[in-house]
Amino acid sequence: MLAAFIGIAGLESLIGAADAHANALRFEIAAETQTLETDETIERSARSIDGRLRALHLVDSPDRQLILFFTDLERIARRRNVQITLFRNEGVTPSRLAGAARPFEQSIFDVALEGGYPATLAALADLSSARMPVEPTSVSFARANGHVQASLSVSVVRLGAGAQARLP
Amino acid sequence: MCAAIGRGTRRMIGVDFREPSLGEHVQLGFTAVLRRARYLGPTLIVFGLLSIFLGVEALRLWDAVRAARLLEDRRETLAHAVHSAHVRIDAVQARRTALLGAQALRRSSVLLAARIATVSDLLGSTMALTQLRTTPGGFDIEGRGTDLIDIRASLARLESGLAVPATFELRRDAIEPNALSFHFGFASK
Repeated sequence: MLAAFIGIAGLESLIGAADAHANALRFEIAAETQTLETDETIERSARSIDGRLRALHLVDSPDRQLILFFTDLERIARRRNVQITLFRNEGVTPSRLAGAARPFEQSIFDVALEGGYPATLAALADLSSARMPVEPTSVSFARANGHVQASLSVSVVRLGAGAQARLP
Repeated sequence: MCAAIGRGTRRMIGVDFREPSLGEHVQLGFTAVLRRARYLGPTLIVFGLLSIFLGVEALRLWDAVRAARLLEDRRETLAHAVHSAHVRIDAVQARRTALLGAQALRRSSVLLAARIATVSDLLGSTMALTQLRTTPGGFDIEGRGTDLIDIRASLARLESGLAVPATFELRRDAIEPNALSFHFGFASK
């Protein structure tokens, strides 16, 4: 009789342990299902992000970016009536914007613009209308006879090969 | 057993030494069996109930273990999909951060032009801005002037209009002894 009671108690504790394990698994499965649902949602936004990255020419080759940047620069110069007196490509380096993940690399360009003071400033501001992200890091000014020569160091960023490889 | 019952019956009957009939044998035998089996019933009932309990418990345990095993199989199936999902989510998050960074960069040229305009205005006509350079924590400007009083006045205007320069350097030009070069470093505002 005693053995039977001990047996029942043992079985009860085993059932309790199995139920606890099953409950833990249920919670884990719920969390994993939640992650999968998030993944489905994020897939939709990934397409939109990819579209915007392509629209900003962040996945273009450096050569293609160079052509686009020069075309944009010419358009700005024509509109603001300033002259491009220098356009030089300094090569591709990792971007300081990248931080720990280093998703960007940048092409450095030396550009010189010459024109009236307000026109040169307006041309500088117009760089934000370029088709790709352009960051002027330094500008040198020389003013003489109402004219300004602005020498800029400009970085054009693009997604690095590592970041592009991580595309879903 | 029947012989014993027969002897007992004869002793009970006492004076009547006749052989008991078959019916009496059966009746007395049945009474004796019932007397001996008085405790057998409850014992059997208790053992039966315990067996049923044990059986039910064993079934419950089997069911719980089977359910846990099924859940483990499901989790294993999900684990691979979840790993891939995590990789995709991380990649999309990184790309979103990159996109935000790139969009912020696009605005930097407007900010630069605005800074040049502000600094030029604040410096006044007697001072010339020669260089503006963005730094990780802010920006640096370099300029030239001829009069120390003008430079002091320009600095005061810059301090009230922009911020107090974090670094300040003043040099007399080696080529033009009358010219003074200045260099201010500003933290981002």
